[in-house]
Amino acid sequence: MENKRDLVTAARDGDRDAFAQLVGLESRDAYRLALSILRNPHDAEDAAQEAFVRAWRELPALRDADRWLPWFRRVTVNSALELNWRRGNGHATIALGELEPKPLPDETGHVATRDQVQRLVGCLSQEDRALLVLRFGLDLELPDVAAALRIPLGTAKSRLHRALARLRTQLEATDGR
Amino acid sequence: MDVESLLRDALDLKRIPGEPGFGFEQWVMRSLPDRPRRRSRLVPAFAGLAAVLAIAVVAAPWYLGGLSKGGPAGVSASPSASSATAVATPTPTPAILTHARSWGLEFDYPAAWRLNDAPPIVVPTALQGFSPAAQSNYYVRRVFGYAGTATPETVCSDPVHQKSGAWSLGVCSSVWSLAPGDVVLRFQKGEASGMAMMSGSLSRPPSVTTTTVGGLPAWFSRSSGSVIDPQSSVFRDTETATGADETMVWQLPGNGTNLPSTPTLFRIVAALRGPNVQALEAEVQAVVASMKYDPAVIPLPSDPAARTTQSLQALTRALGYPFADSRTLDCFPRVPGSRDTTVTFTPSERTLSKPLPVTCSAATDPNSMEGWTVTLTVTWQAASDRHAGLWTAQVYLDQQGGSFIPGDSAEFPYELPLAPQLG
Repeated sequence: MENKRDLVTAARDGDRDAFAQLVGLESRDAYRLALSILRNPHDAEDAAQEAFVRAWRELPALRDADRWLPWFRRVTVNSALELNWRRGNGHATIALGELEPKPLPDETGHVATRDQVQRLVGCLSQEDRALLVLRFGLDLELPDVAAALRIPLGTAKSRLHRALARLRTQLEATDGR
Repeated sequence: MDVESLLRDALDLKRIPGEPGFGFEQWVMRSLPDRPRRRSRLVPAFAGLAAVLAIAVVAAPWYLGGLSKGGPAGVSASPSASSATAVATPTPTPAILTHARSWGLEFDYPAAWRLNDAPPIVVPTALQGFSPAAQSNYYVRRVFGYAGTATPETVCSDPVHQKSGAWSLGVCSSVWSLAPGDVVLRFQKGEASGMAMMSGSLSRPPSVTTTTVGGLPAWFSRSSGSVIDPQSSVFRDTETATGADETMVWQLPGNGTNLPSTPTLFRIVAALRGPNVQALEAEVQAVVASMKYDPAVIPLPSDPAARTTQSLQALTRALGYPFADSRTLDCFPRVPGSRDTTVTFTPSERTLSKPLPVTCSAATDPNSMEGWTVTLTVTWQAASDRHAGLWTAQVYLDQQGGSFIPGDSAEFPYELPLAPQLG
C-alpha cells in the first residue's frame, strides 16, 4: 500500500494495523478539530478517541475509500458535538489562548488578531463554533456544513449569518477600545 | 481583513495549538471494538510504520500519571468497619477500616494503608506563570491516586514546545516496585463506558468477567504474576507491576445518574506481593466491595407513574440527538409506539430520491446502568421497485448522557449518493 486510500480500504476490510496507521496520520488534526469546537484539551482527546472508535466501527459502510477524509472529519465533528450533547451543553470550557502560554510571532504579524478572533469564537455556542470551524476552518460549502451538522440548509444559513454578525460587532467593539 | 478571512486564519487547523497526549494512539487502539476481517489482506508496505507504532507502545506505557492538587486524598477521621462483612473471603483478622471519599468514589480501606493523590508535578519554567488548571492542560491525566501499603513513584517528562508551535504533552508513569507483603490499588481513568458495556460496542475479552461495583455493572479480571491485564482484545500492550505475585483489574463505567457532566470512567489496578497473597486479595476485594460512587447511584424509580415519566423523558432526549432541530429523526413517535408516515430522509441523514412509506417505531426499556435504552426502528414494505427492509438503532441513556448505536441496517430504497464533496 502506498497511499491513504489503500490504508482506508484495508482498515475497512478489518485490518487493524492499517487502521493504526490511519490513527497515527489523523490523530493531530482530529484532536485539533475537536479542540476548536470543545475548547478543552481533555474533552478534545475524548472526542477524538471516540471519533476513531466510531470510524473503526462504521468504516465498512464507507463505500468510497477516497471519501475517507471528509467522512472522518464529519465523524469527528459529530463526536465532539455528541460529547457536548451528553454533557448537557453546560460543560466548562477553557479559553484557547490559555493553551499557548507564549504565542510566537509569525510572518504575517496577525497573532494578536488571531488570538482575539479565537477568543471571540470561544464565546459562541459549541454548535455555532462547529459551524464556523466546518465553514472556515475546513472550508466546506454551506450545504455540506448543513449535512455534517444534520441541520437544514436554511438553519445553517441563518446561524452563520447571526454568528458572523455577532463576531463583526464584537470585533468592532474591541477595536474601538 | 474581513471577518471571514480572519476566521479562515484563526480556525485553520494548522494554527490551532496543541497535540493529543503522548500515548493517545495506543489509547485509541485499546478502545477499538472487535471487528472481523472481511477478507484476508496483507499490508507489507506499512510494516515499518506498524513497527514504529509497536515500539511506541512498548516505550510509552499508556498508564499515564496525572497533575493533582497534591496532599492526601479525602479521608474521614472516623474509622468504619461497616463493609468488612461484604467480603466473599473474609480476612483472618478483621482489619480496622478507614473511610475514604476521593476521586468520585467512596470506600473503606484498612487503616494501616496509605491513601495518596497522584503527586503534583513540577512544571517547567515556561508554564510556571499559569494557573494549575492551565498547567494541567500540558499533561495527560490518567491516574487519580493510590491506596495501599506502598505508593509507586511517579516519573514525568516535560512538555516540549515544538518547532510547529504546538506543545507535546508531558507524560507521567507509575514506577511499580512491590516489597514482600505489599498491596497497592491504583485509581485511574478507565476506558469502558456503561454504554459501551451494554451495547457490546467494546467487546469483553475472554479474561474478563462481569461483576457489580457500587450498584452498576463492572468488568473484572485477575492474573497471576506481575503483568497487568490490559482488558482489551484489541490492544496488546501490557504493563508490569514489578514484584507483584498477582494483579487484578476492575473497569467501572462511572455513575451517570447524578453528575453534572459526563461521568468519570474508572480503572482500578490492584497489585499484590506475598506472602499470604490470599489474605491480601481478600483485603482488596473488601475494599472494592465497599465501593460506592460519589454521588451515589440513583436507581430507577419503582413508582409506575414516575417510571413512565422518565421513560418519556428518555425518548425525548433520544430524539433530540444531537440537535433538537434535526429532521432526520422526525418520523419517530414522541411516545413509545409506532407511526405510519412517509420519509424523504433516512435517520442517518441520507436523502431519498422519492418519498418512502415507512412505519417508524420507538420503544423504551430500563437498562443495567439505571438508565434507559431507546430502540428506534424503521420498516418498509416491498413494492415493485424495492424490497422490504428494516433499519434499527439503539440509544443508550443514563440520566445525564447517552450514546447512539446504529444497528445492522439495510440500505434504504431510493438512497441518493452522498454529496460529492464535504471537504
